[in-house]
Amino acid sequence: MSIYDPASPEACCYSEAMEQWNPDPSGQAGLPVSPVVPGPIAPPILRKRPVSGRYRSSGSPWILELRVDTDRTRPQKKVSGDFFQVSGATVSYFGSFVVSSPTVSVSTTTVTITGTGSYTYDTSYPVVQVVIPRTTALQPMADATLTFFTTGGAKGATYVCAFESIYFRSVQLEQDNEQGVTPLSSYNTGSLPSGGTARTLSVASAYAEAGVEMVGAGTTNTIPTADAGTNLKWSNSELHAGMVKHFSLWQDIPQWKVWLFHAYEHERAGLLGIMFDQAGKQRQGCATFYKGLGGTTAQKKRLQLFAAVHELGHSFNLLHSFGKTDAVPSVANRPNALSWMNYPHLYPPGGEPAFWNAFAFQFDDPEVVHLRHAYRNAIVMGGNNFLIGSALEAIMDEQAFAKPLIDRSGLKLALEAPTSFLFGEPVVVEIKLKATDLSGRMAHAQIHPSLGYVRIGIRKPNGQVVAYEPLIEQCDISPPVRLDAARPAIYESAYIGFGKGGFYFDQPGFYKLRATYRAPDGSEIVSDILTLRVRSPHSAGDEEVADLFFGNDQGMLLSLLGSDAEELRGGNDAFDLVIDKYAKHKLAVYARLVRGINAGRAFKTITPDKTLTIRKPETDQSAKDLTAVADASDAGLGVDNITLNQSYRALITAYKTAGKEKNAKDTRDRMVDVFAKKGLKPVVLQQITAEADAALEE
Amino acid sequence: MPAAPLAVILTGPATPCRVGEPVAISVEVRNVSDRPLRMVGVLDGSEAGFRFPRYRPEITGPSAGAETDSVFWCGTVAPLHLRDVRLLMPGEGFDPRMAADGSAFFPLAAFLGFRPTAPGGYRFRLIVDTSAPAADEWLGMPSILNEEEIRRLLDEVPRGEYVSNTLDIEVLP
Repeated sequence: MSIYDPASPEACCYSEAMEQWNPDPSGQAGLPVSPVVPGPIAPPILRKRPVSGRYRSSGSPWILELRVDTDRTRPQKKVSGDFFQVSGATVSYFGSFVVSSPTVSVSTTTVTITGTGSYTYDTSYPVVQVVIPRTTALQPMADATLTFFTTGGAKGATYVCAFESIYFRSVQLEQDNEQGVTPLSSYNTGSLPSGGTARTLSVASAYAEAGVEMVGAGTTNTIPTADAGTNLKWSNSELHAGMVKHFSLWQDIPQWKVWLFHAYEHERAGLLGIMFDQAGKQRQGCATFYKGLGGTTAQKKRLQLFAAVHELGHSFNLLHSFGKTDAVPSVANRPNALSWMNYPHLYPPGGEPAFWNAFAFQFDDPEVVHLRHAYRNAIVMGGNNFLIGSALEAIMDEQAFAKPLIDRSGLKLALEAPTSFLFGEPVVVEIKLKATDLSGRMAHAQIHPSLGYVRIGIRKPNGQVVAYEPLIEQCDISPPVRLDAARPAIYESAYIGFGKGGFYFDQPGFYKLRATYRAPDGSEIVSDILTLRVRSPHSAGDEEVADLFFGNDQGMLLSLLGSDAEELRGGNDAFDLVIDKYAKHKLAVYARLVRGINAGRAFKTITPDKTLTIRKPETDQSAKDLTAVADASDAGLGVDNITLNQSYRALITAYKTAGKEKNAKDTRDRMVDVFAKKGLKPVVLQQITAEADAALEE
Repeated sequence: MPAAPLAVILTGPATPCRVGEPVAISVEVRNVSDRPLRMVGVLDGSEAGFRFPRYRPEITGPSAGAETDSVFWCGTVAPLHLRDVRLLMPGEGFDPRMAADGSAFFPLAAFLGFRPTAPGGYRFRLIVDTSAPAADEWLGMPSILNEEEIRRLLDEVPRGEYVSNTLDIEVLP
């Protein structure tokens, strides 16, 4: 225990006797309080206010800035804070923490948030509890009381923090413009088709929507073009010199102050914006260029706003959506992100028109998390160098791998998979959730990652940690089930090779996987680490087959288990080629699985002229492919048990649809026989038999 | 005049192209010299022309040359990585747009986003410019990881301007 741990009891700003004391909050900044109007008293509006926002403790030797993010706009379900050390008349930054997956319980009177934090400093008190009384619109915002605990429950320091603002950060923004340049003031997002609600946005209101207050500050200057040198175009060094000269708030220290310069032309032709400050204390200045941006059309005004918000995003240490892997530590790229930080023309699902049609003029969720909760030096202008700590989720993922959580849930989560995969082979893992307390524990009936209860982290051979993001997120309305002696476990098979982050197993080497499961009671169960290896290709054939699997269309088809969609035709062609040319290759079984399952079902397509066409099940094709899958699996060269189960049931359904009752019955018997020979537990075999019978009787 | 060490090869789609549909262009940069050399694919900034190597796609035809000044290019580009500087053995080629071995190359937006709006004959060409001798015009950011090694590898990239074959494609209504 150290006095340099602000969570230890010795660090308390408030003694036990003072814990009951609350300062009169009427003088605190925050949401405006409605004046009391004399006259007939209307029935009181008892609607409670959200508690999210920024709070601050006072006193010494520690000041805590606390950010609570559990309700209000786009809540990210996180709590974070920065500690400042007070010494005499000086205050210096000490460290930060974030609780990434807290349990939030809301009663009629209080909001209580509890969870284990990740810290920039060592602490013996990693568990955080925040209690905030709920108030009505007629009352001022209440204080938040934060208490630290050890993992064993021993109490540490307590901080009472007064409400400060609905914003999580407050930044002073100074804007200057080059002579002759008229910068954008606002843009109506309804002027052109877009993906969000029509509204008038300025730079400040765009950031306000993310929870960041941009306060206009400093002196607005008109900068002579001569400052750009004899060529009248700005180089990065001239921009930096311009910042030092004209940014009246500039100091070479970390501070919540940023400079946005609206210039005419950069020396690099075609460039519309840049965060040029990548020397010394970085990220304090950025610029936009009106040679390309200038104009009064809606398209130009939209682009002006986009450029300004985008470049300021770099000042907050946000990276391009397609370049997140450059973050240190790294995180997966998100090229499909509908974010200020993307390039509209590189948006994969349809380029620039598709991007603007779908773009809601906002940051994506991980970026919002960074803006609200990043460790202070990873975001404050003049803090870490650009790229360092720019993805908070990567830091938290790193820490999750290093520090498994304490688990008293009565549940055990396990990941299973073959020890190695061929390069390009679809990586399918079995997820098993088992009750260790057989007196009974409640769990979700289905645990596929697409439902959101199970998350899987992947550490790649190069050390990069990414979270598997399913391509499609599904809603679950099934009631929880009880896991007990009668039904001790539930199983799920998940293809995790491809998701929103693209291909996750795209390089040979060793991978480490860890899953977390959020139980209905809020417990966070963490699996052991599963190690698997992706083997290097051995032959030219292996290489070609891998190439035929590493395509976005193919990844989509594997995730969807087939599709007739015209835009995925390239993927289907690639799988056909694998089956034709490499029929005996191990990976051909996956191509057949996708083709067979898709062929066995009807597929509806809406043509461009809005006509619905239905392709009927192609039973013969389906039976041929799925029988091959079953044959390969019987020989030990096929798919995992859960996928095999699914494949058999699809085959039974295909035969039934074609009226081939005998084939369907024979397939049912073969399925039961195959699994009976695998030496499964009676309860599991019983369930499989029931599933086979259900498929037969559908 | 010595033969160019790099060839830029465009290949058109096997099936006819139609108005309103994308035109699938294959791109290969191939080492046609008799010795190993290095090459870098399309980087953030390459197509916009403010970073080397520059990749300049050209499309001419009845509906080519649409307004492109609304394309957003940001100068805060990703750093160059060791893995981006590819070794090409004699006769070996690669698609400079495709991520491979950890490199993160970019698509060519002009080819990717092109949808002919009128039928007729179209011509496609790609100019690859590696002429900048100074590594600073390639690196993307000051002070990058493995900078010294990257500078050394960049010396092995043949400097010059390489023009692809001209690809003629007929677009049907």
